[in-house]
Amino acid sequence: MILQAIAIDDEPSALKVLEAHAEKIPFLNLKQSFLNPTEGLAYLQSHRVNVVFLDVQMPDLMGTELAILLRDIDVQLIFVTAYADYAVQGFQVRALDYLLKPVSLPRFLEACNRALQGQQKRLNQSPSLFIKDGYDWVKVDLDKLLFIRSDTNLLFFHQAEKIVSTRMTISKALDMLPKGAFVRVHKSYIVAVHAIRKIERHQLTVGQDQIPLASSYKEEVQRLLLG
Amino acid sequence: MSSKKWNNWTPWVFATLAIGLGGFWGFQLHESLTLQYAGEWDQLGGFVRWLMGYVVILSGLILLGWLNFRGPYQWWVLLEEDKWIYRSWTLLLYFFLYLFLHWSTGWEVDLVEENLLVALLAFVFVMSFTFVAGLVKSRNQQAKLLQEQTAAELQALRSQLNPHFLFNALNTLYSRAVPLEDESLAEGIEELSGILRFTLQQSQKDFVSIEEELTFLERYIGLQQARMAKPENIDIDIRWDQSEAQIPPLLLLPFIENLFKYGIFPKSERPAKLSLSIEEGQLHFLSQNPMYPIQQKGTGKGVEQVKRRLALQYPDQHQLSIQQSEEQFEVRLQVSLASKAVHIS
Repeated sequence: MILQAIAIDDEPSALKVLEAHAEKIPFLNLKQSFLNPTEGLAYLQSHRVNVVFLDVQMPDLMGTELAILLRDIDVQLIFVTAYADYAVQGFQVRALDYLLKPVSLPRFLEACNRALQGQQKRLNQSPSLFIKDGYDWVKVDLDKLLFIRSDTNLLFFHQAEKIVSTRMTISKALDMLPKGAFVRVHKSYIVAVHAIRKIERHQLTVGQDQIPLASSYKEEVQRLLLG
Repeated sequence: MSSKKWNNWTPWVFATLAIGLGGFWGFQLHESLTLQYAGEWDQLGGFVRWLMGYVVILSGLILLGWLNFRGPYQWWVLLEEDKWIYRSWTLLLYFFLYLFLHWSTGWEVDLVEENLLVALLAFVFVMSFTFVAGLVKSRNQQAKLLQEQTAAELQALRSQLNPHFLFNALNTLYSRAVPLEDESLAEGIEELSGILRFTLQQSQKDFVSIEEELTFLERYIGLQQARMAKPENIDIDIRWDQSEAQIPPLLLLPFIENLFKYGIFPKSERPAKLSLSIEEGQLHFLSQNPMYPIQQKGTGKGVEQVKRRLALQYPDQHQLSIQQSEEQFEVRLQVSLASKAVHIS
C-alpha cells in the first residue's frame, strides 16, 4: 500500500524538508504541498488523501483550526510544529502524531509508520511497518513478528522465518507498535502478545524461543494476557 | 508590608477629615448667617448673589487658563522658534483682561490703576494654571513614553528569544542542509535543535527519563567534540542497560561542561576521561582530567548547584567526591536513581 499525502505549511523551506524526507520513504507519496491552508483545504475536499502534514502556526488559519474544519474528512493528521506548546491542543483534535521542527528522517519515518498502520486498520488489512536495514527498506508484518531484541544500538526483529536488524532504541520501537498487541517484558525485549505460548516465573516461551521475563514487567504481561 | 497596610486605610482618613471639616464649616457658616440675617432672610439673596459672583469669576479664570493651555500654549510653547509668538500673545491676553475690566467698570478713568492691578492678578492666575497644566501633561507623557519604551524593549528581547522563531529559523537552515551531499551539517543542526529544545523545555521539569537525558548528553558531547582540534583528547564511555529510570534534567551537565572547559588541552599526553553508566537504576559518573601548570579556575557555581540538587532530591542516596591533586582533577558521583527520589514542587 502507498499512502497518499499532502503537506500544508506557510514556509517554503519547511515544505522542502518534508518533500525531501517523503522522497526517501517508499510507501509514502507526497502528492502536493500547499503554502496556503485554504487551498489545501479545497484540495482535500475534492481529492482522496490518507495523510496530511499540517503546520500548527500559520498566519491565515491555524493548523488546529484547520484540523477542526477537517473533522468530517477521513484523513490522518500529523502536526508539524516549531515549538511544542501547541502539541496538547493538537491531540485534542485527534492528531495521529506531532513532529517538531527540524524534523529528522527517523522521526518522520516513525510518524509515517504510524499512519501506515492506521490506514491498514481502516482497511482491515494486517498491520506492518517499514524499517531501514542498512540501505534497504524492509517491510515487517506485525502478524508475523514474534519478538524484538535490543543489543547495544541495534534492534533485531525476529519473525518466524527471518530476522531483520535496524538502528533504533527499544522504546522508539515500542512507540511504533500498536498498543496492547505488543508488550515489553525485559529491558531488552518486546514480545507480541499473540505469540506468547507459555509464562514461567522468569521466562516466556515465544515461538521456539525462551525470552527472559523481568519481574518489573511481569504484572503488565499478565494483565494483557489474562485480561 | 506595613506601608501597604497604611495605604489601604488612608482613603478613610481622608473621608473622615473631609466629612468632619465640612460639618464644622457648615455649622460655623450656619451660626454666622443666623446671626447676621436673623429675621431678614429675604436679604440672604444678596449674599448668595455675591457668593455666586466669586464662583463665576473663579470658574471663568480656570476656563481661560484651560483654553490658554489647550490653544496658544500647545501651539507655540512646545516649539522653540514660536516662543516669542506666545509671549506676545500673553501680553495681548493681559490687555484683553484689562480691557474687559475697564469696560465693566464703565471706562472710569479713576479706576485705571485698580483695573491694571486686578487684571494683573487674574493674568497671573491664568498663566500659573496654564503652566501647571503643561507641567503635569509633560510629566505624564514622559512616564508613558518610558513605559512604552520598556515594553518595546522587552517585546524585542522576547521575539529574539521566541522559541517559534528560533526553531523555524533552524528549520530553514536545516532545509538548506538536507539536499547537501555532506549529511553532517543537517545532522549538526538537528542535534543543536535537540539541545536547545531540551534546555528550553525539558529542563523545567523535575525529572526526565534517563533515555531523554542521555540523548541530550550524547548530543551535547557530540557538538563539543566537533569543536575540538583533537577529539581523541577525551575518552568517553557511556553505558545504559535500558532499564527505565528518572533523573533530574541536566544534573550532570555542570561536571561535563567543566571537563570540556578546563580539562582538555591540545598538547595533552593523557586524555581526559568521562565515564557514565546506569545499571539497575544505579548511576556511576566519573570524570578525570590532568591538571596543567596554568589552569583556569571556574566560579564553582555549577558544582554548587549540583550539590544542592543532590542534597534536595537524593538525600542519603548519593555519594559525591571531588578530588584535586597536583596532577589530576577527579569527580566521582554515585546516585541510586531507582529508590524513591524526593520530588520538589
